[in-house]
Amino acid sequence: MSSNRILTMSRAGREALDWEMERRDDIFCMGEDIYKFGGIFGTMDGFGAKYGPERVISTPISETGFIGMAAGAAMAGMHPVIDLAYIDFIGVCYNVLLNTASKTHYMSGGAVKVPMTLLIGTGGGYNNAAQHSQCLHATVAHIPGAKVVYPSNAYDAKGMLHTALRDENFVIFLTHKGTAGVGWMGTPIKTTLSEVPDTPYEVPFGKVKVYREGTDVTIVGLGMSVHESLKAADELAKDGISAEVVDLRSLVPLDRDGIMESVSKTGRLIVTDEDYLSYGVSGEIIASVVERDPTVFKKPPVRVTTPDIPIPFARPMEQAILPLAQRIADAARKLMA
Amino acid sequence: MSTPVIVPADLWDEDDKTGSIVLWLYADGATVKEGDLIAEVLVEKVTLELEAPATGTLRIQVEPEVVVNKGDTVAIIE
Repeated sequence: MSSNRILTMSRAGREALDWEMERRDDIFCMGEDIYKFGGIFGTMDGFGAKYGPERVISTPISETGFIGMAAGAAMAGMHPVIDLAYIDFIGVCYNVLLNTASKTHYMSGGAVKVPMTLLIGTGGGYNNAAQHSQCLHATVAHIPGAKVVYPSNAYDAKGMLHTALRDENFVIFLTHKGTAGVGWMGTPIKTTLSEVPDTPYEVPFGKVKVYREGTDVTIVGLGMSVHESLKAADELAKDGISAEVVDLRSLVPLDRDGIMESVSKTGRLIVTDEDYLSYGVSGEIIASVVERDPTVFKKPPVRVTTPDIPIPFARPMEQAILPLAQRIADAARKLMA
Repeated sequence: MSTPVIVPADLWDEDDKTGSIVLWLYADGATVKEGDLIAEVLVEKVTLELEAPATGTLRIQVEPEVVVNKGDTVAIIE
């Protein structure tokens, strides 16, 4: 294999999981449509034939059951990797996440670990309506005891999945569907693609990544909103506005210092988030900066998010409410005025 | 010597369907080895794979999102 390969997030993640599964008998996969189909995002593509039905288990549509089963298997010493497909359906297994997978390590005084990795697709932008387009990452990041990571490019997807699979406790691994680079979602977004080493490597959790350096305004995003922010930064550069784009990469742990470092430099902050506006990541980021030093702000910080409404099916309506590049760039221009 | 990268006639079943390149896994001008997976081709909702037929320098001729048919040359390996 030549070393300068450019991979999609889907292929990069699959490579990490495959590498770990080849070497570790404790890892097994569960989820809907994984044995023959490899999961809706292709993360387990070909795994059924390679690892067999005991390690690659296609389940019925029964998240309550199989995610509960996974938590039990993890406590008994296995490392289940669950493909939950759409985060919209997290409600049916929320008790296991909220009370079991995330709390048992603490409740047992550290005696019982729950090493399991939950892969979940998030987000909209492809006309799949209000029940298949949500981000809901704040809903899972709110749970103490669970780590929540959110790579936005192929390099990070591989490295962070290696890190998750080697973690001794519960990791929720989110991927925005539009960034995964699976064919049925259309041509992959260029900025999601990276050169990916064929050897394993870890990307540590809890460190932001400055995707693009700038001096006038900090744009903080995650998942898809990183890519919309990069587009906005290109537009802003034409107007002479230098935008710094910061990818959170991880919600729990959250790199509050890394965010502070960028805002201290620029004095202006836009947080862009495809999750709902209220009680979410955008407010958390702004509060983190204010708690450290509110005097860094030259102008009040701005949130560019999906409003608190069900995501519309109709394309023009959905495009109007998503935090796309145009809205981000407009917000930056206002901050600079 | 250069080898064309041709969309194989048996890559998908139906002759009346067209595909499109989703992604080149190597940049134009990159060195590839024979057998490397070099591109993804989308036909309806199914993603298919193209392998390098030779070792050499990849010269991409068809960019993503352009319609391709079986038998089309989509790249050259020099």
